[in-house]
Amino acid sequence: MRSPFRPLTVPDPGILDDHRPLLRRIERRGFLRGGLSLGALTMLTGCDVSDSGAVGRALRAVSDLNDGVQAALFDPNKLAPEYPASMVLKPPRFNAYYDVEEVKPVDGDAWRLELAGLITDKRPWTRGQIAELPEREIIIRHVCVEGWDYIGQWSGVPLRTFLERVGADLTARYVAFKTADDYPSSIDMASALHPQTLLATKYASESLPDPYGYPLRLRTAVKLGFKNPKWITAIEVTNSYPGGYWESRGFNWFSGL
Amino acid sequence: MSARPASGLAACLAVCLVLALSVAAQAQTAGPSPAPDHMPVPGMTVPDMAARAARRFPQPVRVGDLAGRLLLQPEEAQPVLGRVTGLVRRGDAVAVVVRLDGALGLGWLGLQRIDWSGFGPRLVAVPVEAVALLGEHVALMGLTSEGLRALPSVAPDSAAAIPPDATIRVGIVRPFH
Repeated sequence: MRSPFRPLTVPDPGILDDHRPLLRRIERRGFLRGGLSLGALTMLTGCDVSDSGAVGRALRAVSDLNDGVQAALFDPNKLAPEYPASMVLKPPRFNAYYDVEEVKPVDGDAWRLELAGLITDKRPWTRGQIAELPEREIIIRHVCVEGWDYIGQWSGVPLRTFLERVGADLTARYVAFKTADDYPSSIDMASALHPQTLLATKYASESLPDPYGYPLRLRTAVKLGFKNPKWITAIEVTNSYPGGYWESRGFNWFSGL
Repeated sequence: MSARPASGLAACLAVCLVLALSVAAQAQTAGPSPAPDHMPVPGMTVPDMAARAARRFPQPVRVGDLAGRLLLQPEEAQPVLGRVTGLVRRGDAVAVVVRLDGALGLGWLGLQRIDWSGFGPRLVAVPVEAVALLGEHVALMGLTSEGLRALPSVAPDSAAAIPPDATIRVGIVRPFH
């Protein structure tokens, strides 16, 4: 069937011969321009070009360098800003790598905190024993790598106090966490010992609600939100790099603020 | 003599362009929605919405803290559908009163009192079971955006307002990006 867009009279084919040099120049210019654009696109979308290949290894090396620079710049005595209680968001924003409807609440009475690695006293802790430890409250900004943030009010035992109490090797490199929702995570020891890093048991002076990590979660003012695991079931002090859920998917490990 | 019709034609074209852009902007929020698991299913009844909302771990929230929040569509771009003005009680049911922008989306100009023959902002009552807390915002989980816009307008004083200091429980939801 004849296309309705086809003209009734077609141009003389000889017109192409008359303008062949011009056409050749245009094609060459377009090829060069296209090549440059493709190159730029390759640079911009580097994350997905070849994650398992040379590009992925190069990006991982840059990320590791970033980790080193962030660790070198980190000041363990510098406090993050704190805010008035009037700015606290109630309830806090929920986030996880799955929908809230898939949250599986933890039985606080049966829950135990297991300890492993470079720790002298590895006896497990109950919720009641943790509640007897000194408590600190911080009102800090939660900053998510996705671009949103909110002010939250968290209470619990400073992680430094807990690590000292159980005889952890405070010169070790990493503190790693296992959780009930299979979300392994880890932070550097300097951040673990920071005064605004808590094993949080309360939000806005109330016991942590189920979807926010009851009975125990990490809350630190010096890391991005995804470095704050919820429903913690085990803590390990180690010198071996433990990684983490998102870190194994390409996220930067140190992720400091 | 010929300059006047030309300028009139240009003005007419400019108006048409502005209208076309406005309609295009509206279409971004009012068009057909994709349907991941968390997206509202067309035709959900209030009991359906309530059953789904109960699985979202309802949390206590002060009614006064809900007023002014943006109502977002549960998709990656999280388009703004309206703004919460308050909560009302209708018998045993609780509804969230939402102000929807007019077709021209000019609510941000502060022209809420102007109703241009249906083009201006209006209030609708959304069952509280149809929404979930998304941080400092509210997400529409039990109604599609088309269903929201199909709700009838309500008068500001047509039902008993729930006082700002009252606390209700609303389910939560994670961001959609």
